[in-house]
Amino acid sequence: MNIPLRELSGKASKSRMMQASTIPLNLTAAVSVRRNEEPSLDRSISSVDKDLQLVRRVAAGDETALRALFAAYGQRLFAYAVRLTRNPSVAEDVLQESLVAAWRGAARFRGQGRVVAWLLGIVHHKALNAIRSRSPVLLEEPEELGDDQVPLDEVMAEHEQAALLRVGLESLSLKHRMVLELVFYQGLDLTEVALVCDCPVGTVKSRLSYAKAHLRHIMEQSGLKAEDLE
Amino acid sequence: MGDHSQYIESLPLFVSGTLDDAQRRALENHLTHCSACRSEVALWRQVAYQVADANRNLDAPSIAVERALAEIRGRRKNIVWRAFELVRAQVPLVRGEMWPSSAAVMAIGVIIATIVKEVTILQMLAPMVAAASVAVIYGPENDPALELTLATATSPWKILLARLTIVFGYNLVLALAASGGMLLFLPANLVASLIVGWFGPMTFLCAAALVLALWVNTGNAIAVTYVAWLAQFLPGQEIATDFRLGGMSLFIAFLNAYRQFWSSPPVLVALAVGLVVIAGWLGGRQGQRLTRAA
Ligand SMILES: [Zn+2]
Repeated sequence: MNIPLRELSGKASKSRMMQASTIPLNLTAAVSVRRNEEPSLDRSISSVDKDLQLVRRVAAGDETALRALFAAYGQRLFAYAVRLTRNPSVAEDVLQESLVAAWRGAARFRGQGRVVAWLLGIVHHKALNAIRSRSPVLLEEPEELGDDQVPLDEVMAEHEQAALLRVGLESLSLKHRMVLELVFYQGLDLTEVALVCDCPVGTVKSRLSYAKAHLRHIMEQSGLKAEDLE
Repeated sequence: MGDHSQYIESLPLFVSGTLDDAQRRALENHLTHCSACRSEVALWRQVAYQVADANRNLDAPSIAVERALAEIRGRRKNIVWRAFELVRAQVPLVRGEMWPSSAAVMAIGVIIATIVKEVTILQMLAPMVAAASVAVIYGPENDPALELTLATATSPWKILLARLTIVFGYNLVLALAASGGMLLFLPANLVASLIVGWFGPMTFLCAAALVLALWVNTGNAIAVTYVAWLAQFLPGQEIATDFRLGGMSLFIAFLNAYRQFWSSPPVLVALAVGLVVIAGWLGGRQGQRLTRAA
């Protein structure tokens, strides 16, 4: 996988990096920003009930209920599809296919877990099918990020943790990157992530720990010690 | 700290906000005196930020939901349309003499019922006409072109069901028309009970005739269903007295129960549904045999 370092050192992304790098150091701010962006992380009983109600209506053939689900979760589903396919137009097809599949499968949804996790599971499945039929290479094992492969000096010069982290995230394999996406952007718990990825909870944990080690490795390679992160 | 390793795993969940209150408080407590975990939390928070940031400018294309709904509607129309096409394709393959003969028998029934002023004749006749029509809808003895039909992609049970729909539907319309004609002599509520009287038996007798035709043969199917249906009209009381039967009361009790069976539409319709499923299976098996032989 080629890391778009050139893009990172470009002018436009540099200004984005500056902006990004100042925020995560303030830990609570980083989290609260996320909270405001995704009101649908709501786990309250009423929202769970409302979603279940919508799925029941979809099962009964109510088109407005499908539109309502899309209004509530469309953005997140699309984001996940883009993350997996790395191609917005393929992701759009995946989203459409997923909505059709949700329509047809709604009657079989028994409220096992949140509706959003069920929908993400459908997107996950459809996106992997799309990738398999287009470029099977994407699904393969991660390439080890060797010292000679990535001109880290270029990035180091920036003294940007954020940039390094982006490099790290880009260089993660799809299966590790998708777990980070589901945990941190989609706000799923481990059981839900396991459900979406169709793998054991233990696998989710080990992917998280691999991803962390990988990112840590990249940070430390560039001379940033763990203590600098605090 | 002995339980440090157990906390390590929940650090990303702490950052993503999916821990419950008790877990969160315990972890916050641990963080106050574990710099290793604090460092991990710092890393995870940056990861969380970058992951969210990467999705910042992604807006879901609302065209996707419109396209999905269009696809759903298209597919729904397709199912109805395909079923209609299937039924229509089978209409010319139903034995031609069925159409006039069913109509003629029902017409004669109406004339007799009118002359003798006895609508029970229609109630007796409607299930028999329908059962005889259904008994001949399928099988090599009734459809020389069946092998050709089976060579197409449509599965045998679908062909069977399509033909059953056509023939049963036609006989149903005939019987309804005949009963409707009785409105000239009878009040509406009596006509309604006349319809209820033949509908259940008609459904059951057709299904039974179909199963027997597929399982044994058409002739036996008609004979067995007719005997079963007509047996209830035996004048039980008179037979018992004439022949001085010993178990007279037992015989009459059986006959009453048997009549009761024929006048319980829900039971008859439920049994008919079960029999149609069996017929579908039998028809499928027969179709396989025929295509293999061909
Ligand atoms: Zn610790």
